[in-house]
Amino acid sequence: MAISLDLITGAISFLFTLLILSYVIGDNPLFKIGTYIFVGVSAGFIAAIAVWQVVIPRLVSPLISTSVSITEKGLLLVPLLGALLLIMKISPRLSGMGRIVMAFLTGVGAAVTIAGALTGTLMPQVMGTINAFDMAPYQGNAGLLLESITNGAIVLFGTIFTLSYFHFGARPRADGSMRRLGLIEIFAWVGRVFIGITLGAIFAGVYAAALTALIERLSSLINFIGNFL
Amino acid sequence: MRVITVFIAVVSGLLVLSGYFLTGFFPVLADVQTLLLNWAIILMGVAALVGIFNLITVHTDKIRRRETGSFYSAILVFFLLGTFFLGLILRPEHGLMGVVMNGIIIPVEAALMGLLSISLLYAAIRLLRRRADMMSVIFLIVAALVMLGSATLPFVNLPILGITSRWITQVLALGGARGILIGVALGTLMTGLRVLFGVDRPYGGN
Amino acid sequence: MKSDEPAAADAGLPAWLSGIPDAAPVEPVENENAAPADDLELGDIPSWLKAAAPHSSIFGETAQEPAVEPAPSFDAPADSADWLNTFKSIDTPQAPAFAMDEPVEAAPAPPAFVPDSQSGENMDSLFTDMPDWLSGSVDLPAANPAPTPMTNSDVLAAGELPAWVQAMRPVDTGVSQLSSTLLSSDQTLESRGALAGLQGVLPAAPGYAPTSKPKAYSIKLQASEEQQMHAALLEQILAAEAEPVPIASYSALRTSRSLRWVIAFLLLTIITSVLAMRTQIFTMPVGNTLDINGALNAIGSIPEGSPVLVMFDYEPARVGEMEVAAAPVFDQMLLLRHPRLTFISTNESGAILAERFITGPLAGHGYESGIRYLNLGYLPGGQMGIRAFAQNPSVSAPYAFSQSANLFSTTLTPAWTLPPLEGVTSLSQFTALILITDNADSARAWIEQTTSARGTLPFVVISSAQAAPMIQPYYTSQQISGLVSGLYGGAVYEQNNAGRPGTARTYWDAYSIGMLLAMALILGGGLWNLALGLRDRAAAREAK
Repeated sequence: MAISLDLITGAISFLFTLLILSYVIGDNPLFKIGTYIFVGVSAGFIAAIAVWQVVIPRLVSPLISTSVSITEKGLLLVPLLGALLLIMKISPRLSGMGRIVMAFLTGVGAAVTIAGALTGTLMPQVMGTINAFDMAPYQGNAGLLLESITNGAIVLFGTIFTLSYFHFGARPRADGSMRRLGLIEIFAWVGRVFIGITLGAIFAGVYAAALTALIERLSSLINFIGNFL
Repeated sequence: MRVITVFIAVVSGLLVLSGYFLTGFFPVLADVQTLLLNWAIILMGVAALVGIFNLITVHTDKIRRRETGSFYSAILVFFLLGTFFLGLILRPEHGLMGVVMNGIIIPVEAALMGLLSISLLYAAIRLLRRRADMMSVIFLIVAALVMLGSATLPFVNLPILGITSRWITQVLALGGARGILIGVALGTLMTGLRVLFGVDRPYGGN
Repeated sequence: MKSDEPAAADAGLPAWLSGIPDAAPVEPVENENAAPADDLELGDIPSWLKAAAPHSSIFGETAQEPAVEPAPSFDAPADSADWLNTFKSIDTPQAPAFAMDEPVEAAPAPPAFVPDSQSGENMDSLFTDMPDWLSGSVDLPAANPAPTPMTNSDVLAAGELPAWVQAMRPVDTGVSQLSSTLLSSDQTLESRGALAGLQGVLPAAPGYAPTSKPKAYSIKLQASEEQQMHAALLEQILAAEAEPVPIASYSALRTSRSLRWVIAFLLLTIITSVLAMRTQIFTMPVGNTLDINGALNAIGSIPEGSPVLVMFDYEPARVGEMEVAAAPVFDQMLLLRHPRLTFISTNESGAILAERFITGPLAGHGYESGIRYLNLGYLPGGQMGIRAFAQNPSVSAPYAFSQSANLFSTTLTPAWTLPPLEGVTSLSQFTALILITDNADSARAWIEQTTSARGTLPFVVISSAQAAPMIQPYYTSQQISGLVSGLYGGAVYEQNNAGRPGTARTYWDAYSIGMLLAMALILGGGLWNLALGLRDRAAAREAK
């Protein structure tokens, strides 16, 4: 195998995989070195991306370009000023100035999430729960119709019970304790079961993802060694 | 300062929000929204740089004070600056940056993820010793059934396993997932409205 | 201190003092009222006070008959303590304890004994007749002659004082006054007490004298019972807070390193063996699910050579899983539809991962950057960036993530004039959207923010297995067209790809063994730990 960029990449990859997998025998300096190098490299990479993909093309280049109109350049002075205010956050004395930018980002972010949650999740999901009972596609097939209604009902009740679990309105009792209404309490209890099922499915998914990552790493180790055999 | 920050947050938020719903009446709001969002994009990029500078500061302070683990901090700062300047000179899309990504970042992250499988399995086995209640039992049984359904057996095919697993994930778990999604959306809505009404000021305008 | 209390008993005397009467040649006292009868009565008086008192036994002289009767204005009761009697005037002025060549200057220190202002006129005569050591402490009249210098003949006999007192007194040791004068700037000479003869040991502010008796302040805290109760309650609360409370549910939890090692050993050994042997004994999963069918249909509906937007939103950690799941989808699409691909990512490393994907698993298709595909790079801002891109993609991502041959070159390549994006100016002009993500939040953001802009465009999500349960509701609500999740989804899709080999098959045996092993360990180990937990809890209940 000739020494190439691929071989160098493979060797480095092999080394770092072993450094990290050494954690199996316990926390050790090799593992620490590997993780610290990784954090440093990742942060440096992100910084380079931020410069080349954000600052230069969206701020610096348009400001120095001759093909950009004066109006556009003038509008870019606002984020330029904002960037300077953000940089002031580095200094403890001037960090308060960064609040203006943070306020802007928070306001814009809140608006975007409100609109997204309302139009992209809340209304479509409610409609999706209702549409599960649409019988039109199953007309003439009693088995499928029954299955569809059953599944739709399970999803509907699962959704309602789960939402009941997140309902925290309570009334004080004679003994001073706070309890939910009786019906809500029962719904919430069933909701816990549904949440448990969902979390169980998510756990299996997380394990599957982690297992695939482990398989991919072990496979790469075997393949690298295989190059020399 | 407080009045200014609240004013900026509320006005910018309302302008962007109206860009979603009122562009039919005021088409200019779409342009305003795009402008504000592009400003936000630029500022988010700069914020990432400020965050990384803060990381450097923290670790250089540790090195200067010769705290425990300052050796590791020195390694971190060295590789951070090295990668940054390499990326700055060569650009991130250069082949050498590909070596950095494929040789260090991907292997380390994937290996850490692989280690997670051991930890997850360990935690699941020990769960019932820690708390043996109905929720834990349901959680583990569902996890085990979904795992069983996600695999196949040697030489034989048992479709029932896959069907059961899929029914759990696509029907039973769907109810809980949808409930969680709607709950999250409602929570997001309330939090966002509190910010837009100036009730919550997470940007520090107390 | 009252002399009549301990003076009667020898037992009350210090050993060194009890021996004094025998050692000193004391003559019998003729007048009982004149002075204490013997040293026994001074048993509790410290030596320095004895030295100060004009007692005959101290100075080795017989007490003389007092020339002046104690003034009645002194208000000394008839049965006053004997030691007070020692302050009665004597006819012979007492000499200083040591001889001096020059008269001793009166110390400016506060007087040790201040007469009552209401005392009678005889007070003057009383104090003029007082011994020198005492009169020296009060303001002497101007006409008062200087005290008579005493000679060394008046010094105490060595045997009359304990050794430690002798050691303290410079009189007999003959310490040079010069040395102390040189060493200390304070010229005040102590004229009485154990420190007599020492210079500058008790510096005093010249001219300072208290004008009134200092007030007595109580050091006892003035607190009511209620306040004390509150304080006690607060103490109790604080003590309870500081006391560590053992958490019952965590008491039995100790990390079992051996169990961890067993799990690690099993997983690593079995998976490595299976991968190394390249076994393919496990059957591939059969039967398309609805969501995978949806993906197949959406991919199949893409027009030939049309622009497709692909969002790479996953972390490098899941590159293995995502490439395995996405490769058969793209392989089929590129093979059958030859789309023009445009990549974008809200993840910083997404752009590089996109390049890795197109030049790795899809390398066989020969897609070239700028001709068949285009990488728009990193889109910052999360949901804000996605919304901006959905509204106006050419403004939000104007440049291509292309390689530049020149170092330090800031030249940027405009993206929207290149062939892959020909005829595209808005999101709705793409023919399909494909999101590759490992994160349910990322999927939610793309689904939410592109809702209005994409209209009815086919939207396929290729996700990690961990995000699938939270993305599934978007499929059933028909907000996305199809969902391929994890290695399982990739394996199912791979079987719909005209039998073309894929990585899913390579990994499948190891994956299946890993999943079955996990299931067995969770059920078996779970039951075992359940039994252990019940045993621990029963033992804890019994212990209580």
